[in-house]
Amino acid sequence: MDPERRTFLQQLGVAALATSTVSAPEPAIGSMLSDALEQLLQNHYLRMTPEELEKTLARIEREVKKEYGANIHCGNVPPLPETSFGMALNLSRCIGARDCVQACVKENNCGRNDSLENIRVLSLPRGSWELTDSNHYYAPSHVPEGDRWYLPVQCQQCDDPPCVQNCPVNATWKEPDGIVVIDYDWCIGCRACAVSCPYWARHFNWQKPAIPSQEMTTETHYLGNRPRPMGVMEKCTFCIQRSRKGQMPACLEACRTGARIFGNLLNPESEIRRVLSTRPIYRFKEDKGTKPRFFYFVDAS
Amino acid sequence: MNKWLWWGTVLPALLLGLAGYSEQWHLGLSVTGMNDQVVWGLYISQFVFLVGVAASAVILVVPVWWWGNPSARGLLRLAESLALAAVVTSLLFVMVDLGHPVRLWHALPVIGQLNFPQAIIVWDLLVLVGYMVLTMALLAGWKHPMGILLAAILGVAIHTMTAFLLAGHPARPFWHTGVMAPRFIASAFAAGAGLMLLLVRYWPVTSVEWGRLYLRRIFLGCLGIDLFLLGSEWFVWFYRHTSEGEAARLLYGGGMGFWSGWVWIGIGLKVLAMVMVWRYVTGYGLGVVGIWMEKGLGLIIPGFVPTPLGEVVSYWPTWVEWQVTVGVWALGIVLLTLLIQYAVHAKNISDVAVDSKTCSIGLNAFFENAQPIKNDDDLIS
Repeated sequence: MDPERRTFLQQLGVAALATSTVSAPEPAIGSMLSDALEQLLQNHYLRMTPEELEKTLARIEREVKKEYGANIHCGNVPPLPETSFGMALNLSRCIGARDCVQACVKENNCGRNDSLENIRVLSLPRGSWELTDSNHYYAPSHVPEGDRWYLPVQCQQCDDPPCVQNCPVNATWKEPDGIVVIDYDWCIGCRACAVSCPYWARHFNWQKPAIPSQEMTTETHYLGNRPRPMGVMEKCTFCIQRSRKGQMPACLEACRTGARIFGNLLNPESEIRRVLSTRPIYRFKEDKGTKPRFFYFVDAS
Repeated sequence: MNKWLWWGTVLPALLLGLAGYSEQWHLGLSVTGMNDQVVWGLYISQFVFLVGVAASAVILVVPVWWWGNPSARGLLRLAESLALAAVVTSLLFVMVDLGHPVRLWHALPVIGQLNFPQAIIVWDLLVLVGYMVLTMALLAGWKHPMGILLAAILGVAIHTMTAFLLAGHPARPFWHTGVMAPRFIASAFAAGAGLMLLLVRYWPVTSVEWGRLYLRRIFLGCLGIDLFLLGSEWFVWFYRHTSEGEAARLLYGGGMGFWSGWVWIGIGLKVLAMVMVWRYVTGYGLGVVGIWMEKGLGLIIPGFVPTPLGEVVSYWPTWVEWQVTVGVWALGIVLLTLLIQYAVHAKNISDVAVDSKTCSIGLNAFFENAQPIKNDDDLIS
């Protein structure tokens, strides 16, 4: 979809929100039925007309209201021009506090019942890179433990993503700003993408996600943190609902040691570009041919 | 077998499956033992095994087409019935595995979106559906040598694509091997030959001695190739202890507990079946069960354990998962019964559109027990 059309859609979405918040009458049985039918026949995100998309976003807001009792705004902010997002993580600074994990769950409306988390922090013995030595469920009284180092892993937003290659129905794709997204309403739930991901970054909604309505993040994006249906995949989207508005991803803001750096890889003035040009960096499992846009680095000593 | 006893077994199995699937429909795949670590389980392992059974029709289609042997034709309909039942059942297993089955139309051409030619699933589905349609046409009596050639090509293609479906993931080192497809074909032919030899007792054609001997050789030869290829894999996995070989070392070294035992029993059954068939001309069932165990859960689970992030977890199919699996198998058995009855009643057991005079290249003597062609009326051109 061209950016112009997206901007148009965004404006439509804002207009729809404006009208819908003024008056929110109880939905009638007839409209609930037509909502269900519309949901069943909904087209692929990239194939919807602006009108269809506008109706769909409004319907999603209604459905979330009905099922979770929360008033959300489901937006559709298009990718920014001349932007390619990337993240860098300073392993010297990470202390394994998992602030990022908790912030991510909250921001992205992840199901609390499956304890679905899109960031996994591995605790490894110092001196080892052997993943089978890692502890995913470490729970010491305080971090960091002296003999461990920590490796946070999430979607590496690959430039050549195997998940996208393996999806049979194009329900997942790489956006122009480099973010790999999922159309939760197009995914058939075959889990081939999860099979293909070397980073274990794709997570499945094995049941309907349980989200307490008071904890719902209400500012959402169609391709991002809106509540997901049962039986579909989800993943990290670099907090698409935030990053496309110039905000930082929730994991970065939550990190107490400031280990994360996020920015536009195409902007030579950006902090991430400064890190990439001044520090030795490491890309995780680069040998799998994935071309990650997630970079690990360490402090020079 | 007693007809009432038969239905008395199959019908409850179908109902059991229906009840299980209805529970899964409402509560989602959380009712299965699958999780974020092991995302495919019992269903996909049945799919893999059954695609192999479907592909095995090739072992009869090819000799009939190539050598035009009349006594092989007697078993051709059996092979085709088995292939059609197996391919339909395998597709059903994919369907029950979907998290969002009402969106199946997304995988249809034009109104849906097919990620072609990138996604191997799409290739696999295309050849599977093509093979299904073709087998139907052949069973309905479509007579054209081209159809039989196509069945042979598609038969190999469906199982090759199923192998690629697993082998195409660098993220899953246990599967990431070029040996997967040849191993699949070998074990599929062995399983198919074994199943046909078990089914032939219920097959009304009497003059199938040639076919029996031929299938026995296929069974022995293909199981032998399968075990040789497994040995080649073992060499690579065990000669140097790489992180890629971790899953294999866990599986065969006992690190996966129950599933290590499971896969060793599977391999043991295969070896036992080979010895028994070689010495006593029986034991096909053991071989088929061995293949089902090793190429089923024994293949799927180690693809996921350890996970790409090094977690070693376990997977246990739940009661609901077994229910659905039994139900789908029962549906497949009903279908097979109906197809065999249709094939028998249609009296078209030997009407294969192959003229042995043009097709045969004189290799009949290769099979010393091949029956001589009695008269030309035997052959329908």
